[in-house]
Amino acid sequence: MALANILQFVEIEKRTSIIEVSSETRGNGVFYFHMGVLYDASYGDLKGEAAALEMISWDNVQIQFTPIPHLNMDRQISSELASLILKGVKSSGRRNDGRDAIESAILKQEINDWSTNEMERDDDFNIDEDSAITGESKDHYGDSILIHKEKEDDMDVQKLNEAIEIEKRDLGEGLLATDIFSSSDGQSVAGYNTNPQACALFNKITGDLSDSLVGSGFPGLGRYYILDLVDGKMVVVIPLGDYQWGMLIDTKKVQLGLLLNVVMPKMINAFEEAITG
Amino acid sequence: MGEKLEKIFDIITQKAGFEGRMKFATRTGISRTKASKVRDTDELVRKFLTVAKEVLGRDISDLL
Repeated sequence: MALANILQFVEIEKRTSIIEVSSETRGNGVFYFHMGVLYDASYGDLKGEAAALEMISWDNVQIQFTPIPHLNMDRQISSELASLILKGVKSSGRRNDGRDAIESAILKQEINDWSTNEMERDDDFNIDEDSAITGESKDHYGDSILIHKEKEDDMDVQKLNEAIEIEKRDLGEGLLATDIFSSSDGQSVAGYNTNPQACALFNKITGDLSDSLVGSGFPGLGRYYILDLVDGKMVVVIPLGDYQWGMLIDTKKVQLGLLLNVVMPKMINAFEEAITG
Repeated sequence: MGEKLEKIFDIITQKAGFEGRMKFATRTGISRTKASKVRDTDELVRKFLTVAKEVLGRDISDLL
């Protein structure tokens, strides 16, 4: 596998890691990622973007991941990983290596460009219909997509809290507790009556459940799973990839149909806005 | 507007849950809400289908 593919995996998985790369012919280098964002790189005397560009098109490398909880350094690389991959591979003149990653990077760029152009071109487009950005102009909306491209791996905390507020408002007293937690470490990133133990344990349950389904030869986990608890309570967990959304519900105060068919779609839309910026 | 793009989101959710949908949204950088406001051009639909194929591991153009 080409190094570019591996780095994109780290980006998508939002890992915080030090990645040591070793090539028989080119030597050793290091990439530093924080929450999937490439912060820095070093290769010989080269640092930052220059080092990343030099290494990014390598293939047939040995890689050592060292996950760390926090990366205590300032970001030295301002360019997006996709942009660096394109530049790196072009400069190396070896376009066939890491082709999947390159095509993926190009595709994402093209989709963003296209959607931005289409929105700007559409005379009927009314930005006020979008409650998430009410009051912003069409041009400003175009800008928001560009901003997204610069910060694509940052979770929008404000929108995440808005998603929690939607859940609280729509479920009212029926919502006893809720957390959005990271699938990588089971830590809550937003919540109400937050329960760190539940986050860690249900993170494990989701993993075990997925493994059990795979091991049984069953279809994979779908949109959510529900645990029916005594005393009229239930737990609902929604796997969302890098994150999961868990909630403890009082079924005497909230109808399941209302939760699944009315509230949950709104919650998911709000969460999606948070991850796409 | 954006009917085909929304349909692609729905198919991905059906086939891969919200996890697949979030992966798709992250890769395209477009949420379902935003997709509903974009015109269904052939080019954009084709690009969405390409990302959908990456996420699902299969072509879904026959389901549109």
